Amino acid sequence: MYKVLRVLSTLIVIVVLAVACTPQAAPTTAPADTSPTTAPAQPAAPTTAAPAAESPTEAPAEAPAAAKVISGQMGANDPRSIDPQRAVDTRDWGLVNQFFPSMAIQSLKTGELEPAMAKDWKVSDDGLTFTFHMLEQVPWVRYNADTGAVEEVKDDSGATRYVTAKDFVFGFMRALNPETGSPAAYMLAPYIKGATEYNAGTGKAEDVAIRAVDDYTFEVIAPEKVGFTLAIYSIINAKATPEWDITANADAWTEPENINSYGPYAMKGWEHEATMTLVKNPFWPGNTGIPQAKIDEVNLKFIDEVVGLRDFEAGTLDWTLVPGDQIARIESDPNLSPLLKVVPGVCIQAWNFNTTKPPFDNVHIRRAFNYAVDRQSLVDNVLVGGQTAAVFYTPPGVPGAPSGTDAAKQVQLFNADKAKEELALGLADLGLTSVDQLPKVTVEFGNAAELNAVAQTLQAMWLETLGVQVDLAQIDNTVYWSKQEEDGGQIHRGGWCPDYNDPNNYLRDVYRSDSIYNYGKWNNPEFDKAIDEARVETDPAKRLALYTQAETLLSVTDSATMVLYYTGRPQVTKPTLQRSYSPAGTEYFWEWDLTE
Amino acid sequence: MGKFILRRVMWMFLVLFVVSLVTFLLMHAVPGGPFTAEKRLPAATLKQLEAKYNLDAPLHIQYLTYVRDIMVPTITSGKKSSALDHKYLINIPLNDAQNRVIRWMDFGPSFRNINRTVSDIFRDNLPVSMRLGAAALVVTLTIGLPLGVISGLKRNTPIDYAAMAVAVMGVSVPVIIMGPVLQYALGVQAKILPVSGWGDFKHLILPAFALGIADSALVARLTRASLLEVLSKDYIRTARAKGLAERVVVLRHALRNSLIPIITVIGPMIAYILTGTFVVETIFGIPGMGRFFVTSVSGRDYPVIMGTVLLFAIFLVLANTLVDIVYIWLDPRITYE
Repeated sequence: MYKVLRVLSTLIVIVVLAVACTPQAAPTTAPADTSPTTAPAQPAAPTTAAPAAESPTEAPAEAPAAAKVISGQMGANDPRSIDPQRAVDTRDWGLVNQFFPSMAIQSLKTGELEPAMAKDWKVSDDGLTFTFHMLEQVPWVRYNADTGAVEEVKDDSGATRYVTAKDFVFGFMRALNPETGSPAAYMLAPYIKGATEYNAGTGKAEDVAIRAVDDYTFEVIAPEKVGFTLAIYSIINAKATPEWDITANADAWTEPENINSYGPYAMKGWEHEATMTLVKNPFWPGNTGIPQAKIDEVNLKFIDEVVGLRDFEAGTLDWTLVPGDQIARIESDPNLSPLLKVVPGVCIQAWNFNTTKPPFDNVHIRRAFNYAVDRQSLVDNVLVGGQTAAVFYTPPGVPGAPSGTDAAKQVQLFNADKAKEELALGLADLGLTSVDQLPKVTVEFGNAAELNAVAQTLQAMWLETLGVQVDLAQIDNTVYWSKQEEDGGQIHRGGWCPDYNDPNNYLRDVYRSDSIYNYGKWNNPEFDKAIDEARVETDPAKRLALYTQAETLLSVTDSATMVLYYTGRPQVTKPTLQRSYSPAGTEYFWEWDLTE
Repeated sequence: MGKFILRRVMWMFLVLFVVSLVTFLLMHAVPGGPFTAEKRLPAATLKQLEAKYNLDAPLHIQYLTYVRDIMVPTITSGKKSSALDHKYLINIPLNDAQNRVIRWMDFGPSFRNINRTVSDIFRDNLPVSMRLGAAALVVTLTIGLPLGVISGLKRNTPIDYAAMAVAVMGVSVPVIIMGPVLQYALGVQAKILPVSGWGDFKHLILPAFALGIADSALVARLTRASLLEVLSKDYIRTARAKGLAERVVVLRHALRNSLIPIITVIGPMIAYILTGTFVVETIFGIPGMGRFFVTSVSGRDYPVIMGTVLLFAIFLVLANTLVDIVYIWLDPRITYE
């Protein structure tokens, strides 16, 4: 009796103790002390809190009642990184923008580039030399957990560190340095003289045409004149980063106790895999592209949209993305439906043919498969997640893209009669009498519910219109991607989310015959010529005409790929939150405000 | 007993060695690497990254380096270093003039969470999972054991049927259903508990319940079956024949002996439940270890794969050792000499 009780009670005591003793690891609302137990909460650079606290620009910390605080959903799992030169994802980019503004930023209203860290800029007459005049005396800041305020970072002599052209030179060079392993280096390097060689390890750092003319003048020289160079100089890794901080803390410099930043928001806390708290940086002076923040604190929860919607309905979140399959329910709910907004996305879903593999080395067979796909039905009846049927590869929201023009509207990709005609032509070409004699076709795609739905729909459409039965092969994502690099399937899932906002990124970077993303190995010199010309063309009308020609070749004439749909970003927002919507999902929190 | 534990510890090192070697070889054999992505990296960038993480070295060198970094402690001196504190799991400052620190167990960086290390993940995310798992274990035992005992004693009565019906339901409703239902009922509708998040006791209730309830059904059924078997044994008849009160027969003789199979099951269960569960942590937005078991494999995050597998192996060996010790306690006939 005793022993039994002893065993039982010991078990329970052990368990209870374990519950009680385990340190409270992840408080959702980041408290004052956010440092891990073993890490000293030492600032990277010696800072003196007192002068910062007395600074006249300091936000009034005594009025917590008036503080504007919002919470929102930010996707499952931790961001991969918020180090500008090592971050990868779109989500990372959105966070990086809060802490480290580029020289310019794209306006969500007009799509134009507006000054962010630059006051203004000058482009030389040959279009190669970019001179940025920077905002002056913007301090590097850090959040001081002890005082609960954002403070200026001081150097060893006690002077405030301001963001200078040297910091931008450091940031750019760090992005290009092969030792950094910046995953976005290949985007930046081709647009800076000498950078490609330096990044490849064959050139010298001194030959990279980046320099600080003086403290607040930053100069970059491009190797050639193209229309979107300025957009490239604003990408994820083209930021200033704090050299002293990175030297002292290495990879741990982006931890909340170490990070130095200068943007509209500073980092208050980061509970890995759970939440990140941004706090308004009162020292950010504001500029056309990035004004001073209006909201004092932004809490980001790293949960997926399924959980996010439940949290939103429980009233604990101010905004969240919603799963596509919940749109119908939200629309029929009188309380939720006014809060829903489906923002057109920037990604294209397109499935490629491998033009080197039979039967898709034959253009008629490709066209037949392409014409047999009813995009509208796919979007309306199968996906129902805010997607839009596509005609051309570049989404219409991209400046200079022909997708929204009359030319695009005249293209009817779905046409069952044409599909049958092309199939007959193709079979005749191949000397076959029936579709059963066609080589076996396998469609390859990665592991995702959406892709599975698309694949099954395409399979049914081809069977119905062409009478061709294809096999589906759903493969583990990483295995699929590595296979695609070596040997793209007869039909394989393609698609693109942009690195910068220009048709060049969608067309030339993906489908040029020598592109590493041209998994279908499509090669049409006419297309290459059109996109090469469009790349350096400065007349918008001519450029549009060239892109219309290229898009038509890609998705209609040659049918190298089947463009299916543009993604959407369905989301709900509380009516008290005034906000902008970013098509890419890199939200501009500094534009948001709370109303009563 | 001391000898037994020593033997077990030595066994553990052998197990860890074999597990780590097999895992290392398997993960490198699977197609795709940590930098294989939907948007593939140019060959030059890929080479730079591989060089940065020593992935271009021969496999056996990579493995030996990995083992060395974990096993061999080092002493660093000089300025305080946040980077080193993050890198090593164990940092013991000596507080002397040179600011020396004994550092031990570097499990490597995470390739997916670029600025974090595997030690960081253990330090930040494992305690969360352990706390949740321990709470779930309390739910499992406080519901499962009494339910099983009652239905075992009241065999073939309406009480038995009712208890077992509850148990069957518990086993059959997967946590992927149970979690959202609890969230919707108590979080969205009643608004008495938070839907997701972590930190306070109130955040613990729903996930602990969702996680514990399925196992409690298992424990209840096991307890019932085991108790019934023991109750039919000769020594129970003897106990009854010598006139012991039914309460004493059940608690001292029957229950104690029937605990052995239950403890056998609970051992591995502890290892599973304390190292985190992917589904519950995802549904309730809990920053635990569970996700790393899944995301590290799908993302080929080699050091995290190794770290999670080794962690689980350690928990499993320890839990089983604990079970063996409890056996001695429960059944005097068992010895390990």
